[in-house]
Amino acid sequence: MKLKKAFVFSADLSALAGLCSGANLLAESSAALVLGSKAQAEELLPKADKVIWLGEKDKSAIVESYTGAIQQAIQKDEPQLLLMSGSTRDRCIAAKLAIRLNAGVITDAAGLTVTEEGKIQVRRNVYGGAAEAVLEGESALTIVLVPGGLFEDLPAAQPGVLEEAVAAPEDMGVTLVSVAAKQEEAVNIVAAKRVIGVGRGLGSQENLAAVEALGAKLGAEIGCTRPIAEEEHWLARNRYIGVSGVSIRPNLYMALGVSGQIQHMVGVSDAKLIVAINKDAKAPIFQNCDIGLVADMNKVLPQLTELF
Amino acid sequence: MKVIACYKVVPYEQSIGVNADRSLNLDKAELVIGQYDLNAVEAGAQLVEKHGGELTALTVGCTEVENSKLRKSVLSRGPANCVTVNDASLAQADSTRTSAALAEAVRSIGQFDLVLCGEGSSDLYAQQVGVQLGERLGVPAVNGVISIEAGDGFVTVQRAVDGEVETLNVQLPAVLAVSSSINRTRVPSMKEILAAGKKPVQAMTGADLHLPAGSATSTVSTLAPQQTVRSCRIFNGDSAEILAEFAAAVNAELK
Repeated sequence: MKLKKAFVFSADLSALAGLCSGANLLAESSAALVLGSKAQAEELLPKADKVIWLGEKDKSAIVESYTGAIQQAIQKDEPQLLLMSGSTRDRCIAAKLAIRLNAGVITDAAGLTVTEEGKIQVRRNVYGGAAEAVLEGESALTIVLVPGGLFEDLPAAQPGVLEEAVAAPEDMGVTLVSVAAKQEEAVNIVAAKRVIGVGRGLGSQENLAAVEALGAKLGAEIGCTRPIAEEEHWLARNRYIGVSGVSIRPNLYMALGVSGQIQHMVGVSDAKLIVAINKDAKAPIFQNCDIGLVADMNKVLPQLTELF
Repeated sequence: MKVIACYKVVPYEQSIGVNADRSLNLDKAELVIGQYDLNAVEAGAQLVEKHGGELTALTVGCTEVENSKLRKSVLSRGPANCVTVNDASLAQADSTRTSAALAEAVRSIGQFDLVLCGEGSSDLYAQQVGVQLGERLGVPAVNGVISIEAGDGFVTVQRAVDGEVETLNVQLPAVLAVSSSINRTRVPSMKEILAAGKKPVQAMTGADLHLPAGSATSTVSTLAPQQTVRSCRIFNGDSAEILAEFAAAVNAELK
């Protein structure tokens, strides 16, 4: 069964086309809310039955200040579903909308369907990846946050119409002082064909040099487990693989000093080949790899780098 | 500064049992404080240590909130006191239900300057409750906070959002959901652990508050994922021969 209406919004304009595909798949009519230039709104016309242009964002305001404008558009058209991206801003806006509109909100959807009874059903990881839950929306509107690439490209049945609803930002008790680009190197371990993941077995940050040498030899990006990024801060957070980090599907995942806890392994479960090196023969990763080596990674890395 | 730090008592993922039908067995699971919530408690402790005032720890949930070891654990990390709300209706609560219960509990605590939440709970990790709570309390709320500086009637926060770091002045009172990169959480000393046992705890139930009925989402099933079967060819040792065999096996697969 299909829903009557689905809306999409994202603070990240590049996410909108993908979200529209989901709305077209799940609902009889789709509408995209666009906060940006009129040209950016018009660009989406082939993707949605209706594009509601909220105007350009005021430079002194943050996107979250337009929650009221999104709320009004939803109250006017009463869609059953609002699709958003999983970005930090979208999470913030979704939380505000959920309270204002008495809506259910389900984040990090791994799958999204409409049941025969017309209910919105979502699959998502819980307990750090130890389980997958199936949830259903129970309110008139359900807000679902999905990662990029969840839906295959599906344009609207016919080109959409543009509706203007130019809005002003609301006072959310917040003043924007400044914006800076994040001081973080750009890495894309999601797209990498080969990834090396380091865990606590690394021992110290100095040992990273040998891992980088191996990475260069194999043509692999370096990723890590949660403690390496969030507790030791030896690698940036955007290299962290796992349930609250990124999920990857490379041809090769080489886990060095990684014990194989479920929260991490859920992020690599789609890897074609998993290779593990760990000095603890009892580490759970040896039950969940294709090829394993029981040895101290720091001792064997220089020699192994020569052998690949 | 009057600060409230919210935390959730959750089952430790590694100790969750899986039954033959892939359903979960939580009976023997060890209870812990959500790992991201510890960052909120730490941020609150640092604020009151620097600027004076008082930090209160707050949790809502089912019987697990009464776990005395975890209450002691949270109180050894800086809070002066702890408020718990135990209500059967909060078992498996979704984000909107949890934020409703927290809002009622915060109202019962009274005046505050700042409520801090972690970026998400360790069990459900919806990353919704902090901002929802702010919206329910009718105060400014933002997520993704990586630093907090106290001003006069406001806080200046840095917020990591989607490739940018923005600096915001947020009027108080406010609710902030802090990112796990905001701080490193402390390891309490034996003295702090002993002192924690003497700090006041206010244990409430749902009957003390006005908890709303109904839920905006329902859970159809929760099952352990199906495991991909992997071949598990294990080599053991670090001699030149073993390393050569291991490398040859890997190279053969990579061709």
